[in-house]
Amino acid sequence: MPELSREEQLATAFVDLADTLVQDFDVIGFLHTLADHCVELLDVAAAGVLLATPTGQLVDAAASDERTRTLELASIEWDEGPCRDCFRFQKPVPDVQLATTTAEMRWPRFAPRAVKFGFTSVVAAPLRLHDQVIGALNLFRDQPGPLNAAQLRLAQALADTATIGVLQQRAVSEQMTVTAQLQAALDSRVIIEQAKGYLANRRNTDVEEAFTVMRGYARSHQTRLTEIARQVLQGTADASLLERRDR
Amino acid sequence: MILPVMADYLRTLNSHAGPGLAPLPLAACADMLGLDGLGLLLAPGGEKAELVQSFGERTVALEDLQQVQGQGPSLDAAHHGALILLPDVADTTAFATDRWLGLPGAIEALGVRAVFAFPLRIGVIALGALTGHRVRPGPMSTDQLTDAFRLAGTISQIAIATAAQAQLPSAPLLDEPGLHFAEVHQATGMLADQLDTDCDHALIRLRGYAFSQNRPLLDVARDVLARRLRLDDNGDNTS
Repeated sequence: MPELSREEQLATAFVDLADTLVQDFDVIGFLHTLADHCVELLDVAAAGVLLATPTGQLVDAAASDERTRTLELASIEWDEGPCRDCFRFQKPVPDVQLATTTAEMRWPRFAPRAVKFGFTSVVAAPLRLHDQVIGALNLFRDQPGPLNAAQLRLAQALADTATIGVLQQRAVSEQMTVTAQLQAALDSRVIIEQAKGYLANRRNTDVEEAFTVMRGYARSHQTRLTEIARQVLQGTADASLLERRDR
Repeated sequence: MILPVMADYLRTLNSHAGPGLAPLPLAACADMLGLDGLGLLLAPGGEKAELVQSFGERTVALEDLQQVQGQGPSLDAAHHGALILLPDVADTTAFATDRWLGLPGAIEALGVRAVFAFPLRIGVIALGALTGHRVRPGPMSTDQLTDAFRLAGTISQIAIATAAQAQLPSAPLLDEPGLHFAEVHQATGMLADQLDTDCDHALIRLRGYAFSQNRPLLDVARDVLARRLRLDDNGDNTS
């Protein structure tokens, strides 16, 4: 594929993120697309997305790599970090340099762990529509210096587009409120996790690689990630996915 | 975050003796959710969903009707994990008319006008359904839906815990919030393949092992994922 210009990349990202009015829209798969686009388009090393359950519990929805995923999980477990602050105060968390006393005082466990993972700074943008915040987007850099203002605006624009996408998705139910949609997304996330573990054992890999394989398959077959995950667990997935590999 | 209506129930749960689920405070739950009736269906191990607890004079009839017809919101929720919200069963333009031929009219004849079926599930693990109804049409409010999801989540945890307790009678019913964590679900999938079983049994196994070793579920899940721990078919083995 020829190298796309930045404008073309941008246009593709927004089309991808707006293209949610399709049958079988898959929120979790979609949020992974958001994380990937952020890493491609912005001067960041990694991106993570957290969603809030209707009861306000944050869960890790998507991440550009498993390192970030681990960090997001730790953040939830410790109840500290940029995404949690962003969600709690319902506003963006501007650039925080991680290897500083300020960062360490604010996030005593999160900041050192992020530094250990090679990250230098982080920002968080809310997934927000009007007064409703459904989650947050974390962006990590591994280079010196903050994310510039233009990129930050672009990040928020991507987050906004994604939020509209999540909230607009079609559903089978008649009275499909945002609450119900989010619940469905969170439930499908559990199925994906179960399938990751299953496939990791089957293929003798770690869960990250299992997920990459599953996503790649879903993408190339234009099938929902959740559907592939379900097929994996039911043993009805394509043999190429389920082929057992021994150590 | 426990619903106040469930607090007392959860406190008494661990002292509950006897088979099955201790009676839920369904009347109070229905009241909280603005419903006229509420039924709990369980489908252990993928078996046919059955009404095990109910509140409201029309609940048993509503579930019987669906059992007889072999179709309906409760069964779709219990077996397929579908969330079914029917604010007006008399609305013939609604999808219910095509989905369950002949059922909406029969439901209406029972004096029921709105049906809301919430699946009880943990990923692919289908545990049952919580089905509520109203004698008047109208949607549930956002707050009521939110509470209903919380209630369904709590009952799902109790249901899987009850299953674990059936195999390990001394296990406490509710012990940890570990089910929020992705690693527990990943480890469930990993175990399902290792033990050549389904996720239901894998999760029960994982939970039972954590309890018998007096360790947090999340820790055990991490050991399974790191291949530091293997649970074989017969006993609990560390490799």
